[in-house]
Amino acid sequence: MIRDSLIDPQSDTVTDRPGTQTDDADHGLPPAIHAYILRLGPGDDAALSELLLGHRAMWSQILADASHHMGLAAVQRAIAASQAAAGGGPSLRTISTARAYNQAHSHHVAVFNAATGNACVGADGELDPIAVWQWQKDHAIPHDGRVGPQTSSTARAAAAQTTATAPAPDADANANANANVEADADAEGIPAERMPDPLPPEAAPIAVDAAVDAEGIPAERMPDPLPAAAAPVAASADGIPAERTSPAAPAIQAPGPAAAEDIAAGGGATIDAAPAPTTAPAPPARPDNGGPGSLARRALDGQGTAEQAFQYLVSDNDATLDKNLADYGDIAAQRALLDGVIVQGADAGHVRRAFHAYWRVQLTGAGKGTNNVRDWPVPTLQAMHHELKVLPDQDSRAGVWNQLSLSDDPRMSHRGWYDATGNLSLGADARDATDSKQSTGYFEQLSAPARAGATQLQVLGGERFKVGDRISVDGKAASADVTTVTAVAGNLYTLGAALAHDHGARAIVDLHDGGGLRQTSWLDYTVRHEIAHFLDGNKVDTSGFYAMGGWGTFPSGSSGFESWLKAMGGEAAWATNDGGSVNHDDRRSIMSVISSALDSRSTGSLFDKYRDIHPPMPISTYEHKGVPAIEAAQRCLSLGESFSHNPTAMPSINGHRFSTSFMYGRFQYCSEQAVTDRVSDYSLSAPAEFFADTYAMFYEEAGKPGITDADHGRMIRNEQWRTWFREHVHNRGHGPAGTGAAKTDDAVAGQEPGARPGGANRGRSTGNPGG
Amino acid sequence: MQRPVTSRRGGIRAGWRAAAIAAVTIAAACHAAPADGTGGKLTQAQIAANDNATGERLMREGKYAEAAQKFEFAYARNPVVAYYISDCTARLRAGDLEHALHVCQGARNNEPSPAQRRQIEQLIKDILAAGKAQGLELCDGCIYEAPPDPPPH
Repeated sequence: MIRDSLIDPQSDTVTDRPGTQTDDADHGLPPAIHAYILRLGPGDDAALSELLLGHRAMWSQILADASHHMGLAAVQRAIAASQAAAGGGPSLRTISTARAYNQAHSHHVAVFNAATGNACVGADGELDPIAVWQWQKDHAIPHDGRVGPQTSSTARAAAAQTTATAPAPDADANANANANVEADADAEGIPAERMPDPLPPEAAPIAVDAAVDAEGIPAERMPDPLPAAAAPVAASADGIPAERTSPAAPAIQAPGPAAAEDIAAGGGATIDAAPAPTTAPAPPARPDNGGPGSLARRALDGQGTAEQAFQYLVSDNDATLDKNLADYGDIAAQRALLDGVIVQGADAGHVRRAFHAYWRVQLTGAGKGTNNVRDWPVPTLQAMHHELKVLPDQDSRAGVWNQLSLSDDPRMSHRGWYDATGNLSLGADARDATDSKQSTGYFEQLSAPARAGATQLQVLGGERFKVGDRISVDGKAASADVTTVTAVAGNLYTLGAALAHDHGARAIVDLHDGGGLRQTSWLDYTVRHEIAHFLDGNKVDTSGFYAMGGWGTFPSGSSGFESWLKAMGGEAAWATNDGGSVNHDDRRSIMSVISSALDSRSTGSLFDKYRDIHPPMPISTYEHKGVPAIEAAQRCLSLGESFSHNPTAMPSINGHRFSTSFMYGRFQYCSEQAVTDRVSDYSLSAPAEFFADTYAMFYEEAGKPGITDADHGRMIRNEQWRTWFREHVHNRGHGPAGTGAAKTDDAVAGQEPGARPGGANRGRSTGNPGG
Repeated sequence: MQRPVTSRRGGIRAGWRAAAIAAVTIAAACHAAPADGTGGKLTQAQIAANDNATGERLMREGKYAEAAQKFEFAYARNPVVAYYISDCTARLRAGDLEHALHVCQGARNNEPSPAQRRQIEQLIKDILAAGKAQGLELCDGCIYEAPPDPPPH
């Protein structure tokens, strides 16, 4: 599947990714597209179709290139799908969904094939959804490419009609074929009386087609007709009490971008074992007892959608929802159904309940303006659901995360955060940030223009590249320069060759051979990052990783401050520039002033507050004495929360980089290597962020086409860190998994059951070693 | 759940009384002590005790914001937990809830006695309850994630 972040149609360059292949044959394609095709396999015809539709001018080159790597059958399927989609036929998504549906409903397909004489079977021996779509259209029934009971019975009826008017030999052949099919159906253990009765062929299509004609809306975007077996009338006929039937709400097929990219339904960090999600999952095989689960299964048997089936299971009561889901099927079947409901996104309330049950988390509205959980936007839940699924179950279902909160507190604008109760919160502006992007990768920005002929670059961040690194300046522009770093001094890089072009301030400088700047989804990043926080110290012992960053952290207060100073050199940190030393009485006061500044998140000057105090405050007495303890603290505190964006401004003493974290209220230091190998500036905020951001990068590519288990972490530059993550996080073993509605409080006014007001409350205060 | 008003007031008063008693005791001890080794100058502890005494007087007069500043100066010179508790209490009464929370958190990091720790925790509960009543999302120990790196321009 194409992601814009992988291929930039404006560029001929491959997005920087270590290990990306560039080669080879005379394909005539931009390297990015060729590299993408190289990652496609025989089962990726849908991805190839999207590529074709997105790059029509290069149609023939793409096909020629793809045929070498994907096989002829996949290419043919992709061509057919692309042509159909481009020509007003079924969309790629309809085709993909139909293919999965048909593979899961072999008994209906067998009936259909027999009745149609395999007229819709493709060259690869499989039922062709496009042909089915056309056949359905020709026979005036809803056309979605899926063969369920209605399509198969229509085919049978059509075949019987043909038989009645055809010469005897053909009639015999059809009869024999049908007899064989029925025998097959029996062999599958599906008694005929349990098969849902299809709607009369004439009934539904008239309404649907009329609507299509009247409004010009493609059939695949129209509401699915209710399956006959799921309709309340049918339920009544079966003797099911009316109160157990759900109102027949129209199900709107509204797949958004998240749905289209949804490629790992079963969870896990690779797509290899993950079936494509479908809004019409195969119903589990269970005896029909007339209960909610049976009704849901009948709905699916009758070509209903997951949303239509879920109507029989959903409840505002968590226990009832759990019970109904258990009645429907096993965990895998439940997840497939809930996944379908979320992906389909037809009913916001059902999406929230499905999300709640799928992930076992409470959805909460918090703060002014979002007191109601109904403010949760469906696209955000869909996007988060998608990202959670591509993470390993052992992480996304680790059992620590239990609440998802929404906040309108203006201080939390565009933020995500977590706390120790297991609450993951999104702030104002973040709740609908599904399209928001952030810059990821090893890159810097020029702080001043660099002219052609220059051999040095002045940057904003600093110390991101090493001697020997090949870097690009304005790498995406025609005036790109590629050169080698020969020396690093804070924010100044010396280059191996003079620049050939002028570059403006803020021009991007990034790694040329992979791992450079790329735009990634802010919401996806946030999901990964916060999940990592929940793992940290709960499911993963991160002390070893913190140690790799050389981290030491200490609480505010005199003892914490003393420990921080000890790492600076102890007594030497109190030396004055006139050869003296701060007296012990004054040290206590200075420590208190600095600690209080950290506690109160004060930025700016440590001295201003006390200038007019008499007798003078000790911190004022030593303002110009060059005391390392005071100067280090002043430099850190004056930067406030943004200190991590100025890594070279952090005092470098005794082989450590010293800083203060307002967020965690700690004095801290890290190693020089933590700075030079950082996956992001933000990772220097605190050891917990060092872990969380590295985790976010480790799984940055999870779920993307062609990414295998072995690829995870390849974006992380430091091999030791990468290896640690693989051994201690990725390969640590699987935790419990499950679905169902978690225990919740009783419903509160303005909230849905399962939702609690309150939002963020008590959170983790430290969690870092060294304190 | 918001705490009943009477309970919240009781908590503040109890905290304040205990803090005041502790502070007065310390101030008295400091005044009684000789200013050894300072050539007659007051030590930082003695100056802090004086600030604290002024803060107490201001508290009694209901001048909570001014009292809070005096308490802050007091522990800036001499980090005595009782001064922090007094400052936290004064700021809570003045309605400066966010700052009050930070001061109480600072008190917690300065090795309070078990009794002081209980006072601090009660004060924090009162601050959070008062914040909630005002619609403020105060959080003791929440980690507020910063925005991601700014995008390149």
